[in-house]
Amino acid sequence: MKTCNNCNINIDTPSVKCPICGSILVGKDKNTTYPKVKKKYTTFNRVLMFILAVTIIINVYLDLQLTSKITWSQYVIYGCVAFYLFVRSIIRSHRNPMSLLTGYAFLLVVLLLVLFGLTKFYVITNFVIPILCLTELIISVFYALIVRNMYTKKYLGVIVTNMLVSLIPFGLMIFKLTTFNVLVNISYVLSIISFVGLIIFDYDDLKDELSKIFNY
Amino acid sequence: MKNTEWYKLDNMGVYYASTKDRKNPTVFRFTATMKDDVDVVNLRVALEDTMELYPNFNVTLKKGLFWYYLEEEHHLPDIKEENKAVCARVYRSEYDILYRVSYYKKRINFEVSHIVSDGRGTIEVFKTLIANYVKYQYKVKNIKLSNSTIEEHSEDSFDKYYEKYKKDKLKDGKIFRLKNKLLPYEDAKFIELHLNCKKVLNKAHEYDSTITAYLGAVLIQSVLKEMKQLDKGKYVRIDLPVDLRSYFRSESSRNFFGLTYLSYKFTGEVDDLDKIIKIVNDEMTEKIKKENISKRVNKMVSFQKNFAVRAIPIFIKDIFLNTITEFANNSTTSLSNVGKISFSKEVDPYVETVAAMISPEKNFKITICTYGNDLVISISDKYRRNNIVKNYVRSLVELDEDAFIISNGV
Repeated sequence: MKTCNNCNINIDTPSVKCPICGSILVGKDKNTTYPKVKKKYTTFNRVLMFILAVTIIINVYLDLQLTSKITWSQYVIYGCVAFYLFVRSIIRSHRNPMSLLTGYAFLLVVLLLVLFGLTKFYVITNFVIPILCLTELIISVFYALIVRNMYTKKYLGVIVTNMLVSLIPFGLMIFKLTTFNVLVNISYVLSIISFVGLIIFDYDDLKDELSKIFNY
Repeated sequence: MKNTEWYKLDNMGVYYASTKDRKNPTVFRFTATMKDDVDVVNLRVALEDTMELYPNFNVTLKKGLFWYYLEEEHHLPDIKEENKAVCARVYRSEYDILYRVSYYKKRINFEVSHIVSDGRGTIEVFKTLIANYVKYQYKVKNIKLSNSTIEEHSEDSFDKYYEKYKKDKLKDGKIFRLKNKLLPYEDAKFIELHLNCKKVLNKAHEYDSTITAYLGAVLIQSVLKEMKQLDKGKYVRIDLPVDLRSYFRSESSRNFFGLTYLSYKFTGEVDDLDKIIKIVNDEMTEKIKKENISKRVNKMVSFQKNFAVRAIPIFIKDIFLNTITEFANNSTTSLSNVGKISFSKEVDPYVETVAAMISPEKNFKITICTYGNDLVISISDKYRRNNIVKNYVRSLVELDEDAFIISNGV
């Protein structure tokens, strides 16, 4: 053991300083009780930021060279920023990507509804929102089928949420906020079919999952 | 598809789950130094046997709509040679099991998130793990283990003993807190001070006091020495977690503790140890009465039982609880005595020392445990420099010339 002459005590530590007063310890001790833990700091975030920054710079440069102003490269910038925020939020929130994707899709639907409220641009309710809901629903169902037997139960909540989100176009139609209903109909019919399928094939698991989610 | 058992969180688990992403989330560590270097294969088998008895520990944290819940896992976490900081966060994602077992040379470490259990609850699981390890490593037969059932281990005793109309009103004055610089990232200092238990007990008896009250009084004195003149109007407040299993019949290994505190204000005269101990003794006698503890517990549980609170989505509860934690009038420190840890006579010869510690969150915390005649005072410290700890350790070292410190070297 090492000794701190200042505190007058024997100390077993991988450090050369006294943990109490900070003075230099006397003696050597190779067999310490605690290991010297090396800190691991991830460089992933910095590498990702660097790659995206290079992508943006190259695209903006090419855009300026070809068109003399920023045209298409602005979409590359939006895409890179959105991609970075998505990846970072996955890492920071430690949630599974499917539930995170569902959360973003729902948020996007809400923002689009606000945009529709401001602009009355019917393309949003006729096409954009139904396509978004349909895509999200199909992805979640296929994802759950692929990872079935491993995580299906963990994704049941996500699928149910997506089904509920897919009913939003139906609500838009009821309140006469759409003028073209083909995609709207496909969206809510597919949502109901998925829900019926889930009840028939996975009733017990669904019940179990819902009891967890609602804590009853 | 395998069926998975799930558990509602207990009252304290709700709080710790919502604040899990903060720096230095609360994690316990129980550590046993064995006679020989640890054999990882036997430790793995011992862990498998232990988790058969305590499946409510082998869980992951999942998010529901209104509350978090714990879901049982069918696999065990890997046992690795110690390569992480002491009490490093256990929860990183919803796939992480809320405890960690590691080893280094002769030491077995068992670290558990406070979401799952409290100190006393973890001790029982830790003792079973060590007993099972001794069984396989040293071929010892007929080791007596806990005879409580899985239902008793996983019981939510807060829920069982909650009484709606007996709530306590808490009142606080301004509380003194150290304002030194903190260590970066999630770094923290861990110091184990090993003392002769008999010597400390004799000293406590000289003051007609218990070990907890004596060590609490020495801590208050150490804080008083560091208070500036302007701070003398503030209270020194030391949180004291109280194990409720000694008040209510419970075999639960989940959280079941209440919080009370010692508070002391500079009197303007000379605050010698005699005077502090007398005040601390009186205060402790009053505060740890069953009736008073009950009131505080009911106050805590009433939050979870309130219908309006129950109907709030979990992400709003998270924001609310994190904000409260950030701006709460926190204590100066906390002192937790997990008491005497003892193994059965078959296991005892193979265990040299035992220590208990807890992560410091945003100041410093003290955990006390006794194994045989070895009194271990574990201090976890988030501050770069802490003269309170220096005063405290130096006061206690005077009681025992053979005292020694084991530190993690941060």
